[in-house]
Amino acid sequence: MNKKISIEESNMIFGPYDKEQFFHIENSYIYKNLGKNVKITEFILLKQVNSEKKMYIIEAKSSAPNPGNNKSENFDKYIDEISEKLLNSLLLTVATFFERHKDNYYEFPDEFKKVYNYSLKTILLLVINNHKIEWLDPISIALNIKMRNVSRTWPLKVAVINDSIAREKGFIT
Amino acid sequence: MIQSAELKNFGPLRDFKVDRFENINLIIGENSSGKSFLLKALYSAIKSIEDFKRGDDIRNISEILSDRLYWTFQTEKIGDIVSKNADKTSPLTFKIFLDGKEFQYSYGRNTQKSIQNIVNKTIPREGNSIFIPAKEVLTLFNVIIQSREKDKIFGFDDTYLDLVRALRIPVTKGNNYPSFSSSRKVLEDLIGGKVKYDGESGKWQFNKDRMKFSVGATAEGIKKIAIFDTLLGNRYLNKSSVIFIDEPESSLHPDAISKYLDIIFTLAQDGIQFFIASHSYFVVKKLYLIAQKNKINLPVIILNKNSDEYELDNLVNGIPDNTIIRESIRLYKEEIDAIL
Repeated sequence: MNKKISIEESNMIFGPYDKEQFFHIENSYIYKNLGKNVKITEFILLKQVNSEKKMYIIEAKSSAPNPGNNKSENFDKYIDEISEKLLNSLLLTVATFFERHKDNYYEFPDEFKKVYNYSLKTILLLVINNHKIEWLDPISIALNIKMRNVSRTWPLKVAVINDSIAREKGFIT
Repeated sequence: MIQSAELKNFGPLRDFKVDRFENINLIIGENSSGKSFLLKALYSAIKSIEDFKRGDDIRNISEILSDRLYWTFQTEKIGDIVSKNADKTSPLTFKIFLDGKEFQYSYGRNTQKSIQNIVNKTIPREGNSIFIPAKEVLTLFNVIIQSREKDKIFGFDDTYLDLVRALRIPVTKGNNYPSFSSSRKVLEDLIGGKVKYDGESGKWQFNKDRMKFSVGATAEGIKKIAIFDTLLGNRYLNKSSVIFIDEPESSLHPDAISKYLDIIFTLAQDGIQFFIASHSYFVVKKLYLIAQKNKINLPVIILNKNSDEYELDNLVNGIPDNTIIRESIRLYKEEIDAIL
């Protein structure tokens, strides 16, 4: 029987996930060996959706700019920060797949090694706790525009959801 | 300005009351919920008051109002405007306070054309109010005049006829209100030229970069902006005017919508009152931001096509739950479902 794992991030409980389908990249040696300046997301998840497996690179946030707290410079800074984390995580994941970090390749769950192929669908996912659904679209649009070159060169999707959608879709409990 | 309104059995508006309008008022709701009906009801009343005793017009207020209702709603008899679902004996009643004075009338569903029950305590108005419909009128300018002034047939209602008549007044230079002049500058920058009426040929032309284009070959948005620009330049409007705008978003890019609404805010600060009916997320959002930034009351009336109930809210308190926002959320969820 597969072992399950849950983690708390931004006051949300992510999981339980099969341990083999979850890679806590933020706590990995692969990441720690890079030094302090590389910003990265929380974890990577494999998930069976209907008949296909998808890979989610997940960043959790406890808040985001909204009409009550936002100044336009905060919004731009937020988008810059998130996009940098998502891009670094994507690069690190791909580098690991290609065994560019040989010393720590063992950390990668076997399930990831098994399913990885060029057509594995990849989703960069931002989960914002306690954020109204009507405030998600502007963040999603801005993040997608910011990451447009990434999502074109490495075909992938970028999505932004809040805790209630995350719960509905089985990402958090 | 129109301070308040109370309508009963007025088309889709079975029991409608707003105690306090402000300089900018937003009306939202799905198709067939009564937005344009409400605008036209208010417009026909204020235009009747403005026409009363003007110049050599000897018609009494009842005659003017009956004519207005007939040519604005274009029904066989004005009794047809009375709500279909209303009790047979319940009349249509309409009451507003305009510039602090009462104006009210009522009539039943069998009324052909003459309104007997009318109370007018308003004082004569110098200003001209106007209704800017969703469709532009410049291309159909001569068709509207022909069908209404010569053929006298239904098709283009009074809101169109009044607008083309107002647009026939030539723009004059100098001595305009500063807010009107500055607004015209923004509008002309938006379209990168000027749209002018050529009295000799009876045609509208768009002048840009020293070239003249037929208005028929000009973008819809340019015509829409040009209409507003002309009204601000030909002295038809003054600071006591009430402007009714049906779907300002039609034909306009969101960037132009924002600038258009900024102008409306500038003019509203000078005293002009606006009633805006819209389906647009951008209009709601921009007016919300105007209310927030300037801390002004901006009433929003949310009409419902499936019931007689309506909601009143104020954009200074945030964007209320409404069908436009609900649809944008539904689309967002659909997008997320497709990705995840």
